[in-house]
Amino acid sequence: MQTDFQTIATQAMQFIMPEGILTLFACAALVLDVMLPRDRKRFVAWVSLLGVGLAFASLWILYTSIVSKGTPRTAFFDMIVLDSYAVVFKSIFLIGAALSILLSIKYLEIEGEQRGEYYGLILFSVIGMMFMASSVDLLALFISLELMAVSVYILVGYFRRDKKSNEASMKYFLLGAFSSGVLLYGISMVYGLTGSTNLAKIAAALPIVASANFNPFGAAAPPDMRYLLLMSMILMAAGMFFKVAAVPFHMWAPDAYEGAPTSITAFMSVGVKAASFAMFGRLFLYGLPDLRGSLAGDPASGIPSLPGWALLLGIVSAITIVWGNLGALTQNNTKRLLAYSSISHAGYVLLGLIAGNQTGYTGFVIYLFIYTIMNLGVFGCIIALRRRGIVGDRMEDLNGLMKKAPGLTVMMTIFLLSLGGIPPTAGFIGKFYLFAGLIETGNPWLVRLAILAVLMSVVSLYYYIRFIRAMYIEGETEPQPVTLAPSLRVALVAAAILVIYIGVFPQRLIDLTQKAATSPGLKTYSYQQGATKPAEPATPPPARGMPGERDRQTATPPR
Amino acid sequence: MQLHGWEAALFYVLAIMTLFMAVFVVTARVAVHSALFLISTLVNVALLFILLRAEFVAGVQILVYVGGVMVLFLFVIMLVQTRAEEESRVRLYTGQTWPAVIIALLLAGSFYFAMSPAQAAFRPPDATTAIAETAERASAGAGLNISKDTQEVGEQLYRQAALPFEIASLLLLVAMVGAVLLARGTKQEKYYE
Repeated sequence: MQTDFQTIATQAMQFIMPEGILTLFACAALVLDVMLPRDRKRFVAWVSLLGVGLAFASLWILYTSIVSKGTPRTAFFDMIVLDSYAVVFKSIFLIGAALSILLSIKYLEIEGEQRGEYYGLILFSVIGMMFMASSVDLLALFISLELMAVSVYILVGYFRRDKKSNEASMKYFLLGAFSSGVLLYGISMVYGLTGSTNLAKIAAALPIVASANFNPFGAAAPPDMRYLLLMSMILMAAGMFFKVAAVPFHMWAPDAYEGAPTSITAFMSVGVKAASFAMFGRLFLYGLPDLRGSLAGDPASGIPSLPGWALLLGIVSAITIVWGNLGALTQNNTKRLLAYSSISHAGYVLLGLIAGNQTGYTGFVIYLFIYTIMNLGVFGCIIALRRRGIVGDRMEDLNGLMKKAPGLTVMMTIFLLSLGGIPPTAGFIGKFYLFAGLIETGNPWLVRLAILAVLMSVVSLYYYIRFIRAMYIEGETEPQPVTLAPSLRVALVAAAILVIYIGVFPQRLIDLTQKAATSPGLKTYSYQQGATKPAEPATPPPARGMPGERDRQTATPPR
Repeated sequence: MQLHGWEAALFYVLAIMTLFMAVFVVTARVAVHSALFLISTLVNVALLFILLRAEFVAGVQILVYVGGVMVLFLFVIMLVQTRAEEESRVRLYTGQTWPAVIIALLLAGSFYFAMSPAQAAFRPPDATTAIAETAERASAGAGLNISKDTQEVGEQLYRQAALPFEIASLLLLVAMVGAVLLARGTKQEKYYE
């Protein structure tokens, strides 16, 4: 008989080894910073990079020894689950962190802000992200979200002498704290309605609570809990929309992206976004799958059926795609422009959740994977423009880059075309899965949404081509040469090769992400109380734009 | 848990007090007043915990927040010059007061709308259960001089919530590092190097 402490200790060694390694290296980065003299601080970056590499290796060992064999395992009293969904997202974060660290080394040196805390905080936020991807409990999800967010708030304000950086950090912090409050409000209501913080238990309780004839205390008229459930769902969605910067909760993104150190802009535009989407998927696909389609009413007693989260997400993603792309058209600051572009990409990723079928979920994971690499690449190219006296974040700074640095220009072109979704690059594969998922559903409204997304990604080409035009056609405006630091060169070349490789041979990544999209993941619980089976959902009215089918493959299949 | 009679009255009084004090924390111009209103909010919340029969949590709330955190707050207010901020005539609110009020009312309205069909489930089925539960809890802790919720909190914290507990410790470390990083002046930095 094992004691609880022994259980926890063995599970800690077994299941959270990558996070443990990262914690160790993050603390080491903090300590090393104090010990090293000023001109040697770069060493901390290499130590952190080693930590990320070791964490990746241990994640790989976990994958081959546990995850790829048989059913996913839960640990820490069902707090976290180790499934391929978690593993794929964790590898996204680790790749993102490794590339960001490589991008930062030279950049921080130029800015004169090379300090160990920077790398320590990056590692801490990655730990938060990794727990966000694997947690299946509202408590653990929220705490890890905060761990990630607090680290990033600090990193955004890392340039203390720069007023813009301070302002960006303050704005991001205040709005972020507020959105966390909104999310927590939703979480508390879900807990109150279902009696558990465990996502699997919530998913098991939902059909009972959401049914129209749920009557726990034998009241005369059965209470209708569906409105409260929807209210809490909307609050949780609002909190998550803020974190992924979806319209109308996107206001912080352009300011925070512009003011933050460019390397942090790169990191937060991919890491924070991917982690928030991982949590979004956990919350909505694992925790609230039954609120997806319409909530069945009871036509006999005049109780109307209500729309679920697919409608909400559909509307938000449509607005996000349109607004993000139109907002990007008029920007002249490249960081701001890419902020709007990343808002629109959040809209595209939401499409995968809305489609609700295998293809859509695969697109959801694969797009985030590809987006991480290509967006880091673009920001890496902008970091390369930072040199003595030139900030490099204006569109004019790109002028005539082809003559100065042809290699950099070609790589930038690859990343931009990939962001635009042009076929030989990886971006096309991601968009293809997202749009195909919507069209497969056959629902006329979802097909229209897909058409809108395709049209808007054509619009997005306009501003990506603005970059290309500046680089190839415009003449040089300033004579300073552009040189690539070795670490930056390694990161950019690796990213460019990955983008092309995935674009040409996508099969391996597709296999991996398909596994993530089908991971059953969770234990299923049976609920004794309220023995009435929920009525099958009535077919939704077509005017609502609701997806008709309810594909529950990723969400707790009852065994 | 259902509330009856005086308990319900007490709950509403405390809840409304908490809300108003929280609003005053934000609207007070003098920093010390803000801090005092915050103390009042926290004490009210502690009383709400007692109403929920979570005596241990209430005690911790008072000891940690009112005793520890607020004293630190007051120290900071004492050390930092807040007079300029207090005497300045800068408007505390931008022109968004009315939109904010309207949105808050809409939110309250939608909560009421969502709550009303569910009301029936929240009516007490049997008024005697609460009293029985209290007696049972009292006997469970008899002789040990601890209430049952202390044990429950401990179990939850170190068993089920062991992992979030550890993540929270990392969160605190990050917050500390961040505070030092952002507040450290250039002079101090030079001194340590």
